[in-house]
Amino acid sequence: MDITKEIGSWQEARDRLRKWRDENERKSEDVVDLFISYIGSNLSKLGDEKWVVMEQVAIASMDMHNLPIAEDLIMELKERFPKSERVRLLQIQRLNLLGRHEDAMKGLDAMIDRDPTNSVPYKRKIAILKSLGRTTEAIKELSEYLNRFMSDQEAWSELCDLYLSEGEYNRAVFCAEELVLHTPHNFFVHQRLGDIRYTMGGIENLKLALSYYSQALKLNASSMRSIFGLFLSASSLSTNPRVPPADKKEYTRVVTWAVDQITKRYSGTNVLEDGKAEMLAGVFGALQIQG
Amino acid sequence: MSSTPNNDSSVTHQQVTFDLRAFCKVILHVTKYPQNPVNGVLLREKRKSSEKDTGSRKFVIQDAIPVLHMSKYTTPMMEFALTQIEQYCKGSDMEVVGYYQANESLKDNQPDIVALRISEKLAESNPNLIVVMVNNDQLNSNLECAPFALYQVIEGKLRPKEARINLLPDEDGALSTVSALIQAKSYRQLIDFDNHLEDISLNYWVNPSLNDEIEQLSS
Amino acid sequence: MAQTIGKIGVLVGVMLLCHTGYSVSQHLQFLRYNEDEFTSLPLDMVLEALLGVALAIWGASATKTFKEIRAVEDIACKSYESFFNRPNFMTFNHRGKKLFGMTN
Repeated sequence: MDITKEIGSWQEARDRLRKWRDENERKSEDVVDLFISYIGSNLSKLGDEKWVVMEQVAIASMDMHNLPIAEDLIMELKERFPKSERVRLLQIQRLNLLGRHEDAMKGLDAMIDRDPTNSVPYKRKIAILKSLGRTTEAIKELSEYLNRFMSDQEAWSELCDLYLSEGEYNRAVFCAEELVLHTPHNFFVHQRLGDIRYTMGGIENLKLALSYYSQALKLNASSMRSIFGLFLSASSLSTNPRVPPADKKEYTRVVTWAVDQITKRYSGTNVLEDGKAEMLAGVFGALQIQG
Repeated sequence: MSSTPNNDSSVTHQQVTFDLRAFCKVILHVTKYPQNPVNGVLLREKRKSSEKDTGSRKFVIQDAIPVLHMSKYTTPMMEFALTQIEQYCKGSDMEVVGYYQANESLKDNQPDIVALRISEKLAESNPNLIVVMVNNDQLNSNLECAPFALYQVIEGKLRPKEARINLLPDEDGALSTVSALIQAKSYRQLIDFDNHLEDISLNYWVNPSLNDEIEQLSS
Repeated sequence: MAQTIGKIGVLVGVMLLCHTGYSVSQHLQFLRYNEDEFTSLPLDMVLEALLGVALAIWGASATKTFKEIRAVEDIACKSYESFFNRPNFMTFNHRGKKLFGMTN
């Protein structure tokens, strides 16, 4: 639904923007809409938060390719913080937007020269390589970056996706495992690893996928992706001819439990009221046969 | 033309026609997630056994089910969605006749390994599967033509398919309806399988409120 | 309303504790002056301290702004999209340019 219909005042808009900053949400279209409808004319009321909001809206408006808003905000930020590296980054992002990638690269190199310990310019260079389709180079640069900044989770996650896009599943697994080491309480990372292992296929990978989905469910029992993944892995294992019968029994129990859970959750909704039960039964049957 | 077997395989489908509903859903899916790769399946009603086998049944894509906008390179969620969709089709006399995909990057409009893998799977039950790659470069909030490139699975590869793309009720009507939907931000109402996974009470198979919106704006 | 009462509760509780601290130091000084041994604190100071602690705890819980102690609860509320959002690797060459762009 249109965000401007949900929000009634500039204070609510400001709170929503703050929530999205805290929770790392992109939501560029919503951010720009809120700025146009509520925040733009009330910027002065935001106090010191104003600058951080302006940065957020500048990035969102560049993401929406709304150059007028972006340029206004960047100019104002530059006037207020003429020597700021963060504002410099925004200017470089603007160069990217305009397709001036060479100039952007030069700007980032200059930033690195000024301060080699600032991790952001390295990452933005890699982002430019990615957007130019130079994936192999991007992977190489990112691997080198991670040798120096090894606890950068954002970078590990990015490298994981780059490897996946190149079909290098083993390396993607390595990156995903780094994320599990850093944030073992985060169910997303376990689920992601489960997805990758399932995609790789084969009995050993399916067993690993099963254990990762189980861990994700332990951490967040309401995750539908984890329970679907659990069902898929367990059902593949329970119908695989090379799995010993004793193990098959165990996997079949997991399948039964998963089916029960999924059916319970769907029966709590009124989606597809008429055909739901048959459809679900059909899904479970079909997936178990396919193995 | 002599009578043909039930599976239209001898009809070459030089035209591919998109019903308004299917066309709008594909365009709205790519508009809702402009920064993500998206994909989905295309459906039509199953041919009833009572229909005369004239061999020249027009190939009309009647509906679309949007599937993913995340985790493109991993398979479990796609697998589950496709199985669910297959069962849904059984229950509502529809069949999967196509697959659509839009890549993340503006200039990258070729079918990739993911498109091939999924198309091959779907083509097992329907060899005439139409693969629609959305051409990001041709998109616009005021569309001038259907921004699609068609492909078919032939001998394990995706080959371009020469066919005219028709829009129902007519080209101008469809394009102006979809543009109006974009202006009205109706794409926010679209539900795909990824949305369904966050809240399983959301109906991604039918998208009832979006269907109503499309009806309203087209009349 | 509950927020304000809570905050006042915390403030009064802390003030009571400060007052107790001051009273205790005065009491110890008095004992030293009289060369008496320290046996135990007077009952009224102990009660004042306990009251101050109780009031501060009650006030803090009345404001109801606590985060979940288990990190998993925080994460369970986040959206799947936020997990994949990597701001420093964000690129702009996507179809948003064609659909929404105000640059050309």
